[in-house]
Amino acid sequence: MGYVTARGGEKAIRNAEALFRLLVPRASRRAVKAVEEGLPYLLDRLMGEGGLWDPSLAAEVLWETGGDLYEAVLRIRAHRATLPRLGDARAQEPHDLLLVRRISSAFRDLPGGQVLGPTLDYSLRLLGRDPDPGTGPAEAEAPRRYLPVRGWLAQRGLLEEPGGGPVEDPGSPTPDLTDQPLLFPAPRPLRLQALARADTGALLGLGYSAMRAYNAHRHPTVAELGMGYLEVRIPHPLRGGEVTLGRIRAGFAEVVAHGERGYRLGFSASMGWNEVKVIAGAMLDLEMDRPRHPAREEEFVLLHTEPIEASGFALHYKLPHYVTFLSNQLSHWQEVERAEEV
Amino acid sequence: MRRRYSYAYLDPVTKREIRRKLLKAVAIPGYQVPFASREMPLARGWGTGALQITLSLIGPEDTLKVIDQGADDSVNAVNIRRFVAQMTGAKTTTDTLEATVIQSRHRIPEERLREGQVLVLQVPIPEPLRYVEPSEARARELHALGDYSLLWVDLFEDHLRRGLSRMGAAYPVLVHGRYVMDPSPIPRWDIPKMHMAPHLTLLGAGREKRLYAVPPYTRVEPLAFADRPFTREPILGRCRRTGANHVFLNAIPQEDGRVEYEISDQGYLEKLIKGVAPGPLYEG
Amino acid sequence: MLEERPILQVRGIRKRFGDRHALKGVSLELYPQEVLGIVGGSGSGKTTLLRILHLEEEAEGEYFLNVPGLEGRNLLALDRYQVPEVRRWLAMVYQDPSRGLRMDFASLTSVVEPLILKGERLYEALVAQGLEALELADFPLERAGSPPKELSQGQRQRVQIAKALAKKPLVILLDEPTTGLDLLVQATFLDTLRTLKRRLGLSMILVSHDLSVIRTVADRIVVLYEGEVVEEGLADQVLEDPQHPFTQELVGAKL
Repeated sequence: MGYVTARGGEKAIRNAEALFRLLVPRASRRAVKAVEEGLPYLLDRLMGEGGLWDPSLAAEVLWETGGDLYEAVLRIRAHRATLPRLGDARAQEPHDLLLVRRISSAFRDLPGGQVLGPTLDYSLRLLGRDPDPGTGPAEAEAPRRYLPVRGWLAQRGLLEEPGGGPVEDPGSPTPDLTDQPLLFPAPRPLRLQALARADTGALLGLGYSAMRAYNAHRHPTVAELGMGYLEVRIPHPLRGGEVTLGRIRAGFAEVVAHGERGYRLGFSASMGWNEVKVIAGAMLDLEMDRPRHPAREEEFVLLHTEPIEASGFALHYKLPHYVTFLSNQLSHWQEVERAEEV
Repeated sequence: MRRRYSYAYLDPVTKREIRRKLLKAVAIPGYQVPFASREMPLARGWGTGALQITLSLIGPEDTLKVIDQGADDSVNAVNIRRFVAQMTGAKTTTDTLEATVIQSRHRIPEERLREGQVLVLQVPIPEPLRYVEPSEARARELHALGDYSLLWVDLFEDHLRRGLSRMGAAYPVLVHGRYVMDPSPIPRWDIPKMHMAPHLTLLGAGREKRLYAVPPYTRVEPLAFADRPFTREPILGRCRRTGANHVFLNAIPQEDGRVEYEISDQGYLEKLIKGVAPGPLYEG
Repeated sequence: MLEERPILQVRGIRKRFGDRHALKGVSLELYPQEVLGIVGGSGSGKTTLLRILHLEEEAEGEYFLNVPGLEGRNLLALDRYQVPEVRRWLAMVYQDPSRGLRMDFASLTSVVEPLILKGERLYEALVAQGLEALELADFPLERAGSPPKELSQGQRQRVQIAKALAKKPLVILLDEPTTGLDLLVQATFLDTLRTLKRRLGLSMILVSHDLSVIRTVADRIVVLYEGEVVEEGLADQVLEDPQHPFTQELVGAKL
C-alpha cells in the first residue's frame, strides 16, 4: 500500500468501524444483562485472561466486539491499564475461598468429602432440552472449610518440598506482572500470574502435550480442585482493620507428581471458574522446569490443538484416580511401613 | 423434543467398523488397531473408547456392570451405566458374576471372570512406548520391529539406581509373546489376573483412537528381567469394615494424618458385608 | 594383512548435498584385525563417509560386509527396516558423546544397551558384561553408576568404547574420538585403543583430521581430499614418503 494521507487513512478506519457496527449492532441493556446472567463461564474466561473482574463490563465488551474473544480480551486489558492502582488486596490461601466445588482425584474419600458443586461433568451430552431436575435444600450443611489436601500430604511427609505453594512469603510485597518485565527464569509469583492470565486454549494445547507424553514415573494426579468465591479485602485506610470490597469467582488446582524424594506439587489459580485453565496451568507449573522443548512438527501441532480431545483429557484428571494413585505411590517408593491397625 | 437413536446409540456403519476392528484386535493379541473414534455424549478421556466397544457388542439379553476404580457408585460409572441401559434395554447389575459385559475404568474385579464374560477396559494412553518415545510414528515402527529395548533400558536403569522397578499402574506386559501392551492403569495387583484368563478382555482408547484385545487363554507377561521378577504392591493395612487384607484396598485419609483402608472392589465388599458367598478369586 | 578377503568394502561412494559433492567416488577396504585411518581436512568428506558406513546417510555406490547372510548384498540398497539387522555388526564412537550415550542415565546403562537389543534378559549378566567392557576400556569402575553428563570428556569417550566393545561388532567406527581432548588425555586414550587392538584383534576405521592421532594406531592410511581418495597405503610408507601434495602438507606440518 502506498503512502496515504492521514486524513484518507482516518476515513478508512472510521468506515471500517461503521461497517462493523452495521454487522454487529450495539446491544441493549437487557441483552447485556442477559449475557451477564446467562453466560458466566464465558465471562469468567474473558475476565481471567483480561485480568480484571467486572462481569457487567465484560458482558458489555463481549457484545461490543460481536463475540470476538481475542478482541474482547484486548479491550479489557487496555481498559485495565488505564485504571489507577489504589493498593494491594490482602493475600489469601486457596482455602480461604468459600468453596462450592471441591474434589480430589487422588483419594476415594477424604475429610470434608468430595463436593461436586454445580457442574455438567457427569451429564450426558445429548442435544435437546431435558426437564430441569430441580433442587431443594441440602440434607446437611457443606463445610465452610475443608482439610487442604496439600496440608495432609505435608503432614505425612509425602511432599518433596513441604513449603512450596502459591504464596511463599505472605508478608513481603507481591511483584506484579503488569508493571514489570517478565524475565526468565521467572520469579514464582510472576509465573503464576502469567499462567492465570494465559490464553486458555494455548495453555490447554501445551498442557495437553505434556499430559499425553507423560513420563510413566511421574503420574500427575489432581490432588485438589476447588471452585468458589473469594472476598477481596483491603486494610481500611483510616480506621485500621479490614474492609471487604466484594466477592469474585475464583478457582484453583493442585496437581502432584512423583519427584525424587516425594511428591512435587504444581499449582494454578485464576479469577473466575475455568477448570481447563487451572488444570492445564498446574500441570505446566510442574513441567516448565524440565528441559524439554515442544517439537515444531506436524504431528505435534495437529494432535495437540484438537479442542475436544485436549479439553476432555485435561478435564478427565478430575475423575477418581485413587487406585492408580495408591498403586504408583506404593510401587514408586516401596513403602515398607508396618501395616497400620485400624 | 427427543431424537430417535439407533439401537445402542451408534449408527450401523460405526458399529460395523468397530466390530471388524475388534475382530482384528482379537486376531492379533496386544496389537493396537486404529479406528475412527466417534465423538460421544461423554467427554474424551472419560471412557468414550470403551463405551463405543460396549455399545457395539451389547444386546437386550446382556447384563451390564460398570465400575470406576472398582466402585459401581462412582458418578462416572453411574452415568455410563444409565446411558447404556437407556440406549439398549440391557439389564444392569453390581454383581461381577451376573454380568455378561463389564466396563471398567482402571480395575479388574477380584472375583474371577468366567469363559463367555467380556471385560471392557477404559484406556487413557494405549501406547506403552509413549513415555520413552513420544512420537506416534516412531513408536509404530518399534512395534513393527518388535524392538522394545527402550523399555528394557529404562527398566535396567531403575534396577541399577533403585534396586526395583518404579512403574506402578499401567505396567507394560508382553502379550502372546509378540506385542507389548499397556494394560490400562490397573494396579500391579491386577496384572496377574490377565494371564491365561478364561475371559475376553477388550481395551478401548477413544481419544487416542485405538482398540486392542487379549483373547481368552493368552499369555500376558509383565516385562521383567528373568532374575528380577515382577511383584505386586504391598497391602499395608486391613479393610476397616471386614478386616480383609487379601485384596486391593483403598487408602482413605483421616483428619489426624492417619490412613484407613477399605476394599476397593465395591461389589466384592458388599458381598462380604452381606454374608453372600463371593465367587472364587484369582490364584496367588 | 593376514587374509586376502576384506571384511568391509566400499566401491564408488558418491554423495551430494544439494549442489555440493561431498564424496565423488570413494573406494576402500578394511581387512580383519587391522586399523584403517582416514585422514583429511574439513570438507574432505571423511565424517560423511563414516556416517554412510554406519548407514545413517544414503549414498550411491556399493557397500559390502563379509558376514553370514549379507554376502554380496549392497547395504546401500537396503530399506530402513533392514538397517537395524546390519547395525548389529557395526559400532560407532561419535565425536560428540551425547550422540552415542544417554547423558542422564548411568554410564553402565548405555554400555549394556546393545546387549539388551540383542536379547539379554538376565539383569546380573547385563551388569557383569557391562562392567567387563568398561574395565577393558580402562574406565574407573566405581563411576559406572554416574551419568555421562557428570563425567569428563575423556571418560565419556571411554564409555563409548565400552559400549562398542560390549557389542562385539565386526567393525568399530570412530569419528574424531580424541578431538577436544587435551594432549595427555588423548595420549592415554590412544594407548587404550592400541592395547585393545593388540589384545582383542579389533578391526577399526578411525577418522581424524590429526595425523599424529592416526599414526599412533593405524596400520593403513587413506587420505581424503575434497571427496576423493588421493593417497593410500601402509601407514609407515605414507608417512615416510607422501606422494600427493596435500599429504605432503599434512606430514610436513607435523614434523
